[in-house]
Amino acid sequence: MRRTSLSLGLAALVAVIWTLLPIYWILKTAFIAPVDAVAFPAPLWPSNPHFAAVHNIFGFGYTDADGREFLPAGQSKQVINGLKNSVIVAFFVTIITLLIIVPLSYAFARFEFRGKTALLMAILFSVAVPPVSTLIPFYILFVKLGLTGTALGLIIINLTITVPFVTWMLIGYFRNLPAVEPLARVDGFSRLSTLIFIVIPMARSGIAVAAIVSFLFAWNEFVFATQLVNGTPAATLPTAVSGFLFLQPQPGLLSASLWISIIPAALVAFFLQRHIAEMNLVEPVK
Amino acid sequence: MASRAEARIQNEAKLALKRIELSNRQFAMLLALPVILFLVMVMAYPMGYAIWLSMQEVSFFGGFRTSFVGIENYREALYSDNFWWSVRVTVQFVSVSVVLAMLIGLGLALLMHRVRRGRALLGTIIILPWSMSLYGAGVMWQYLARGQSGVASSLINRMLGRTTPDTAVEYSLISSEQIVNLLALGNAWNLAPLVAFFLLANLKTIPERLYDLARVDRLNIWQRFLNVTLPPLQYTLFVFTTITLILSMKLLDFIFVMSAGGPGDASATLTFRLFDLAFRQSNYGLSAAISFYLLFLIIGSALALFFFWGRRLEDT
Amino acid sequence: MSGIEITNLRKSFGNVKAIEEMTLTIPNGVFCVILGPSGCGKSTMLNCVAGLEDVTSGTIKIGGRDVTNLPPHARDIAMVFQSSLLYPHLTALQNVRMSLKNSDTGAVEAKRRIDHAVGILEIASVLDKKPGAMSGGQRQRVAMAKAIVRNPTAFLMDEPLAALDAALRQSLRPELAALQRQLGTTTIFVTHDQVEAMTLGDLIVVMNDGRVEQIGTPDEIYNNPATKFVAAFIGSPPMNFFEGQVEDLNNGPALRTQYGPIAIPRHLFDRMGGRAHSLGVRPQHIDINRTKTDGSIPGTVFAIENLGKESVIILHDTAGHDYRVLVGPDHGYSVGESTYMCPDLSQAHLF
Repeated sequence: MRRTSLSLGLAALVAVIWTLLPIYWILKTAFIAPVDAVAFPAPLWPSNPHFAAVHNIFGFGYTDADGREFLPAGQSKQVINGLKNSVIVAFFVTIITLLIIVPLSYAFARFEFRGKTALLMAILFSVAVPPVSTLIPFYILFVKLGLTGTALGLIIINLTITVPFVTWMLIGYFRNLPAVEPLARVDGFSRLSTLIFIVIPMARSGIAVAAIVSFLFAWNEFVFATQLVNGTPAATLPTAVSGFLFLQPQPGLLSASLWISIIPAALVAFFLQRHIAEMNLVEPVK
Repeated sequence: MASRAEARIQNEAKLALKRIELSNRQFAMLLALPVILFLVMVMAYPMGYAIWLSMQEVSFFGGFRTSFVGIENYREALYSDNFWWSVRVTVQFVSVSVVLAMLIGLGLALLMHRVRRGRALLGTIIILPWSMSLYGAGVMWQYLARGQSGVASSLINRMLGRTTPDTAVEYSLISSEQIVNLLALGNAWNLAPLVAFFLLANLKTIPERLYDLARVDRLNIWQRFLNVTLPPLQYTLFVFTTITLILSMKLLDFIFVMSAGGPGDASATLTFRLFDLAFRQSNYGLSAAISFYLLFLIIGSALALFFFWGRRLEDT
Repeated sequence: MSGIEITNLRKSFGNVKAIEEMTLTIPNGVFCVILGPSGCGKSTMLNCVAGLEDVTSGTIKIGGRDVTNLPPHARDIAMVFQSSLLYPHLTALQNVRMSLKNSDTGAVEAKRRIDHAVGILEIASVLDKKPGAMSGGQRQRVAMAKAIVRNPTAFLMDEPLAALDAALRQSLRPELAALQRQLGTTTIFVTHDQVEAMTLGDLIVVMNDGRVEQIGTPDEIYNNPATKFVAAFIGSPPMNFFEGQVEDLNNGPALRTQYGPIAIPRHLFDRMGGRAHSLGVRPQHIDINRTKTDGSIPGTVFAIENLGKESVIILHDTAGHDYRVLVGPDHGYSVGESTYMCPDLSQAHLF
């Protein structure tokens, strides 16, 4: 018994190291003094925590205990602007995605109608289409319509990914909910008010997962943003961070900006790990 | 008097019925219609446009101009070594990614299934890579693997006592030979949590009694895994093999950030190749043509998985 | 005032006839059980009465009012669904409130009714719990409370006890019957369980294959089954059937079986004539002996089920048909013995 719990603990340790090492390795750099951050070989942990990078990234100067001054990062404006844009884009992508997919996946899960299989196939198919293939036509269209460099264009193209994927997630979820529709009809709810007042509250954890997945996708999206809004006032956080990407010797700033982009993901991780498996990705395929 | 009021109520109710009571099919269509329009707009348009574009030669001299070249772009791709190299890289990247993601995912699922105390904390940590952005993952893995900032240089030099810049030696994990495998490892790091959580949900449905039965039959740990644990997981394993396969084939962000197709074009997968062709070389026609080859590869391999594996599981 | 009147009800789904033709009058305050095997159309019939399914033709009146084309909520009914379905995300109290949410019941009246229902069903302690945290019996009570706060003209219940274990079902049955008597509300209760039907129903409707086989009180259904289906479906252990050809022979009517003729009372024969081909006898109306007598049928003891105060002996004839005979505890038979069955023909039925 003791041996199993020991080996279980060991396995858990391996899993945690495997998961956290890549994240830790760069995030530690934000708290290392800029000089030590580029030291070779790289330090294992911030032995003297130093907060220059986390100040500089937001456009604040910083003077450390030794009296050394660190100027605000030149890219801090882009980072803050990117943060703002990312919030806007992710927010609207989430809202629009939910407005579209909740009724759709409910209809798919609960009703039979002509063309249902074909539509489901179309949705699964669009999950399989590589985003780059979609990007090329959209890019050319957006150039013509003047939508490059705008949040609107980025929102539209993000929806092409979130809508099919999250619909697929929610169909299986709705199918697993108890069929309370007749109960609601006897209680005097029309079909639409059943959806609004009964089904949506009942499905809130699944819808929350759908919302989080959409939000994270838009928040994390990089390729579309690089092509459509990079270097414009509509640039999102990932593209702003890409300004530091291969920039040496400022890994501290890169690390600090990564902190910003990772925090939302970390905040929802607890909720996600509890509810993600309710989504039942397997069923719609069956 | 009463009966007249009653008749009126009944009449109103009938009218109300006519107003709100659509048939199920009508209601479903009403819900689905906006989405169908949306899908037509965001899927049919780009697909249609891409088909058209793949048969054009695009030039930028004096604005955006195209001329029809038929299947020339498709032919050009097939005759190009770069294309076949990218197919090779893609196949290697995807196979290694899928195998690693499934194995690691299964391992994480089994671990979470066994752990009693601290399950929520462990789950929260394990799901982190999946909720993280792929560009972030790319930055992290590059930072981790590079010789200068990497973990290998740091650990090995420290163990050998070489802590100053002049004595220490760079150990880079990034090389032309191994870059594809390294990318696949990073990709698996990102995908494995998704696999793990769905396998975990499936594991929970296996009755504990079955393990008791296996113990009575004196199966060892490995036989128990093969005969009790694995069979009910098969369909989920199939579905997630397909999902990880498709996601890996589509992957661009991570490769773009971590290796940018390099060193040289050692890690230029098809997605990277067609991104590069379109947005660096403005060769939209060829890029669109290659994107259809990629789409066929994705759908073809998903269908192949279904025919050789999924179809046999249908009855179970 | 009349309770529920169903006239010439038909329901088909495409080409499939779910209910062929049904006419049924349930007097006010009567507990009516619709009994039948799964797929017989009983749930469809209930859904038609509830308004959850449109009828193909026919009329439905509840409390004298034609409700055929009204939506469920306008029919003045309350329904308890299979396995006492409740909204899983709402507490017991919220579930009960939902019944009144879309009605014009005032807040004071609503509170009075809810308190009343909570008192009758003794569910005060679970009001803040969600269905997932309740036991099967508690869910059943909450579903009942949800139904009675509406003060309906009729209760419709679709196998509400089906998911409960046997012991709980047994204790809830008399409670349900008592509650219905106390409220005096006309009730339709759908089930496939003949024991539920016999113990709960004032009136039983036996359905099979979309048709009504028989309508009657439990006594009528048990003692005078109208069809072979009803006879076989009601009673445990089930009725035995001797197959053959009924003929009017020189020495009176008889069933010609492979073991020789079995004489049939004249009054039975007169009702059915030569169309009949099976003779039904309940297990308690067959005697078994070790010696052959006139009109007895040979059978080998296949198994003996000891029920304590009595035993069921299962016999096989040479063709392998099952016959069940109810005997006292000291029967003395053992498996493999050859015996002879003597049906009590005064208690027999012809089909």
